[in-house]
Amino acid sequence: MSPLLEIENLKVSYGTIEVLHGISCCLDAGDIICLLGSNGAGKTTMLKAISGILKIDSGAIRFKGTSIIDVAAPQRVSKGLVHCPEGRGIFPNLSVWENLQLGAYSRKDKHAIQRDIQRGLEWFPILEDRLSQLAGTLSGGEQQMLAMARAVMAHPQLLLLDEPSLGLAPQMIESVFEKIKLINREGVTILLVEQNAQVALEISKFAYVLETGNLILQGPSETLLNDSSIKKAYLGEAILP
Amino acid sequence: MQEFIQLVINGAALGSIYALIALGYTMVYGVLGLINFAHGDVLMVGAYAGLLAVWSIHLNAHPTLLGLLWVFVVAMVASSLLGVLIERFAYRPLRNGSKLNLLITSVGVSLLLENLCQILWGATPRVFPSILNQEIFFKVDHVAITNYLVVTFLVSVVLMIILEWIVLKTQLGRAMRAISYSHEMAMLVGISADNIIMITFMIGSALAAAAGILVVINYPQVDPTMGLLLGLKAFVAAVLGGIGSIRGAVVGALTMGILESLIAGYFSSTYRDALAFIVLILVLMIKPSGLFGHHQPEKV
Repeated sequence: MSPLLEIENLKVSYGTIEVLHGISCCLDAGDIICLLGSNGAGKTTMLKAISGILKIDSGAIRFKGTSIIDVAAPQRVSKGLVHCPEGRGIFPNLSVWENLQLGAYSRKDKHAIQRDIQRGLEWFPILEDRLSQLAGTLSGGEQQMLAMARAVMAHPQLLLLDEPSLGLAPQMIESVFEKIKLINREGVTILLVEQNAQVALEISKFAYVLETGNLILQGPSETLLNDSSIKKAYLGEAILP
Repeated sequence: MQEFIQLVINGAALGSIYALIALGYTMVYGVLGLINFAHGDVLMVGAYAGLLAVWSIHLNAHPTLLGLLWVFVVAMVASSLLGVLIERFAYRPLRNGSKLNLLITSVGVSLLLENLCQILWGATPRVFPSILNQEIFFKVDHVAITNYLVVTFLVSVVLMIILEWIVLKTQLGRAMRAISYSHEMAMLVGISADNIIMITFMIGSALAAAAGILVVINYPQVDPTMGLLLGLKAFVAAVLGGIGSIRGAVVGALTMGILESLIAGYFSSTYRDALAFIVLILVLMIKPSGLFGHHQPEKV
């Protein structure tokens, strides 16, 4: 089976400063894949390049076997590539229900949208009582739930999740990761960028480690969990007994 | 008292015309962060298009309701086409640059349109033929409501209800509001900013043209600079209501219209045009975000 997403020698710059220096990787359909790295390593830049909101310098990005370099960001959504950005990217000036509606903006099958909103509410029951509330009035965790529920409305095949646990309370983080697993079980491949390396490696199947714009390590998450250099750099072995 | 009521009613009619124009300012500001200074001139071109529509069916000889509708449709279609052209060729290439470039360009487009129209139709004002015979529609004591007022209220209220419905209840309106929050986040749900901005210009320009026709029904003449003062007053109305807010634009415009009518009635009509500038200065001094302007604190 050919991979869902293939990236070859991807280079991206902000102005004259090159941030990604030639990344190559492959994501298989059906998996949760995590992308680890410290601040400023280029994780968010990589997601933005994949979703098309950043122009790339060179390299190839193939989604389902065809190049998407020339496909504008909004059209990538209708191809099944959805990016849930850091800071959640919900529209605070719109109601929860309206946010969910907009999640389905790229879809043609308008009649199925209401049914999918119902399904979204079953998956994310926390939103049920908040439908008419402005999204900006939700708590951080609820906003993250809304961001994921909205992303699923687009029927993604690949979901890019940027720091979904950022700034959330511990119980909420746990709940967010439960939802990530649930979305994955429904057949959505997930590329997860996470600061919380321990949990990310636990729920993912494969992992990449990005450092100052280069992929320095990759492998099955299980292997990386036991890798001593990873433990040192990201799992805080020195602090934990 | 009756004079007061009459002045308020006339002022509200004037205000509802300003509201149609102010909505264009506020919508474009919403999606693009731009004060489109060419907006008044789009109205002017709409009024000229209306004049052509009148001539095309010799409506001035025998006014009919269908003819009136025809004038509105021609003016609105012409202006929305113009709005789309302006957006496509003047503003879109500059969208990624500084906002100041856009602002200066809009002033340039405004001057261009005014001067083009002077070349085409001359600088002297033209009489806009009466397309509606003025009649008293309704009268209580000395307060008279003419059919001009009725048409003005009817057209503006219907258009505002349609706009409200589009913005609040349709996927298009949700996309507009999403873009006004963030172009990038809107792209991530699959909204193409280009399309939505184009449609916003279409709608705003069509509303301006409708306002232009309502103006010439009440004050029957057209000239190439007619959009200048109307545009300016509507802009002040939008600022008064809180630029970016649709409800604010309507409230601001009605306030402006009624104040202007009262000043002209009780004081002197010489000062009616000064009102806009006084209001602008006061708003900027006292509450720069306007009546309905939302100064939202960021949640971290």
